[in-house]
Amino acid sequence: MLRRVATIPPTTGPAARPFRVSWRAADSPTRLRLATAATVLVGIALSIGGWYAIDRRDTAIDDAAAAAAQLIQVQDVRVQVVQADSIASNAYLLGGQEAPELRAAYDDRIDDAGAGLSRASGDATETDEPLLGTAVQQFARYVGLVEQARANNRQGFPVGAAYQRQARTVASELAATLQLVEQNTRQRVDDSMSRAYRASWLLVVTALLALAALLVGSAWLSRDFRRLLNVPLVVAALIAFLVLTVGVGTNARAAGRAGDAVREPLSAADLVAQARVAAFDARSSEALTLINRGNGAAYEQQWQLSASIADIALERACDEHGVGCGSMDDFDAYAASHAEVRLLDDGGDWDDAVDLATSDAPATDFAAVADTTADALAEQASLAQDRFDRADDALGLLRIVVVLAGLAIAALGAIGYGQRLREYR
Amino acid sequence: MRRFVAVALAVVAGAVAAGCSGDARLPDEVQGSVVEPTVVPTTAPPSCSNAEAAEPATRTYAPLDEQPAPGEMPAGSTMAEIAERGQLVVGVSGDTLLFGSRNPLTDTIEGFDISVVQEVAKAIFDVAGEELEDRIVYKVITYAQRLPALEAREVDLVAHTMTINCNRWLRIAFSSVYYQAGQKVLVKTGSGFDTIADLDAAGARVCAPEGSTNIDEIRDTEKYPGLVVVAKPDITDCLVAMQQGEADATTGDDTVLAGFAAQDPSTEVVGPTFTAEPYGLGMNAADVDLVRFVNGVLERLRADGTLDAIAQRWLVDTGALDPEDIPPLPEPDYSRAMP
Repeated sequence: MLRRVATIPPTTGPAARPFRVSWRAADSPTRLRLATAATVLVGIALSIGGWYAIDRRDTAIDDAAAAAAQLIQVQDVRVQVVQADSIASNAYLLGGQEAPELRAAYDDRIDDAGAGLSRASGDATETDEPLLGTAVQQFARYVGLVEQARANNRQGFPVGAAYQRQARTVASELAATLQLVEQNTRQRVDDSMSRAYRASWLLVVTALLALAALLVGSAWLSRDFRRLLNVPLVVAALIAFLVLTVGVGTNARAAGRAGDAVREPLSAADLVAQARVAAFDARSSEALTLINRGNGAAYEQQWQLSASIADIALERACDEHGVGCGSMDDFDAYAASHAEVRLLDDGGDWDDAVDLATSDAPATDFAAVADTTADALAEQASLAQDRFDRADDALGLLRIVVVLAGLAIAALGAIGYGQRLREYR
Repeated sequence: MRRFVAVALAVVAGAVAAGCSGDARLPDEVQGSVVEPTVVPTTAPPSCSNAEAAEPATRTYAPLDEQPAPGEMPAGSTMAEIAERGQLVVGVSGDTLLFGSRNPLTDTIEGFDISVVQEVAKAIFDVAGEELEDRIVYKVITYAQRLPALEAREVDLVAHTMTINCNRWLRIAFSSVYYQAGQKVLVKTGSGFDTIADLDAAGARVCAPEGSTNIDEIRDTEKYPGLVVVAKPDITDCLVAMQQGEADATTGDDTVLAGFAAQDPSTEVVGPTFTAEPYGLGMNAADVDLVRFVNGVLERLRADGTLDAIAQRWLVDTGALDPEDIPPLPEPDYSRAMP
């Protein structure tokens, strides 16, 4: 082998074609110089490619975390609005002088919803900005209509009921607008996560390239120059190997942790939030079936729709994530009380139906649903935020380590081939 | 060396797989489901022939030969059925001030229509006061639900400012007239509109509830070519539409509009009455005995001054109408042939 390589005479001199170098035609020093250049290039490529890949993943994880936070925020606004409307409907159903504690509860929800809406608008993407603009307008309209309903009710004017109905319609429109924002935001979480997964290929490719170049180079040296091991090249190969295993592994773990945040607590929080909105919606519809005294069929349809959403969402949260399982029983208990309310009202016993709905079982059962889901939601949401925060902890350091590794590979390559090259001087 | 390369490649392959694989997606939005109620296919409501329409619509069945005493309903009659059930189920308005509306402060339904219903209930059940209230089941229904609710027998009786007319007689039966209302318009105070003709000439937006005789009237484009009709599910929504600038005026029965003017001082009822709206209690077309019984009750209420007292209480004492604005009740016409 060695003889064959050594005896091949140069067919064309470097002078004849100064800018083209042929590996086959080159003599050993030229080959060593070429190998040095290639190794340095591969090392620098690893530095740049690795930096870029890790940075992209870091950004993608940050985007996913931001979208997750926005999703939780917007869902919270929707819960507050639906809850406020359910309180307003129930207060109207109770009639008489508005109970101060109900009024205070309504005001709290409206304050929270308003503050949440303004935060969500601040964090909105370009796509969601017009939607959230619409939501702000609908929110203002809703609050105005409820005030008009109250003003009329206080004077005993039945037109208050018409305002209450209209407020309810606007609240539904507002909830639908927020739902669109939620859908977009959910998509943004998913897209960012896909980007985070895809982003690692450049690190893998450049590290593989470096490792391959160093292994081939070492093999070539040991074969052609009869050296068992070239220490700098072997160290460089080891570094490339470590980047591939530890670096790529760490990078993958970061995406994995973010993925876990999405798959587990965020998905659970999403389902529980949807269950909460649907449950409060059902409670509102229940009040409306009674406000429409003996003629609640249309709102009973809405109750059933909302109840089925709450049911499915709670069941999935429990089955898939083991979250909110206790709320399922609470909701079943509430649904049973609701059935009793409808039975009373449909049977002509409106007064007892109202008593039952407002002061007895459903109120307590419903409060249980509201409380347990609130706790589950808060827990899962903060867990998700936490995991996202920790997901890219290691990436900052990894980025620097990979850049240094690339540079070290370049330097070690130059040193390793340099040792052989010196033998020709 | 070969073994080293092989091991290295295996480890690398694992790392690469870990770096690229995995997928995390949020669950899709939860969709709910609901069992849709069976929808009865709607057919065009029947309408009277010209010959039928020429006859006075207020003709009803004559009272029973002998009006049964409270608590002693003749066996097999519709009244006996109601008495046995212990409940008179009535379709009423929940938001027509003065006639049938929920008082938000006391949480009871009250008004002219409700008082008449209470008299009918008193005549069936031999009870009074609190106990009487327990015997009446109010179902709040919209204008458009009045006829379907009777046809489906969801209610025994409808007392809901309902005008007696020929087309409705094809589907349900009416009592004799218990109040003589008329259609007028409600406009903003100082708007300059004095009659429906003024509104028509100006191409104004006029609101009326769907399913009412009032909206049928203003939809007649030959009579009112200029009007822009704003339709709402309930007449109270029309007051909201006016307050929100969505409509310039509302047309309805003078009685209902008087209630609106009482709720909103920036509105006023104007113009002459342009249609006659005789109110009757509605019943299922087959309940001829109940119609005859109710006519007997109304006969007594007219004779002993109870109907006048009810009008005094809800329309005059509330300041809604001047006593001279309340038209006298027409003599009951019992010439309708029994089916």
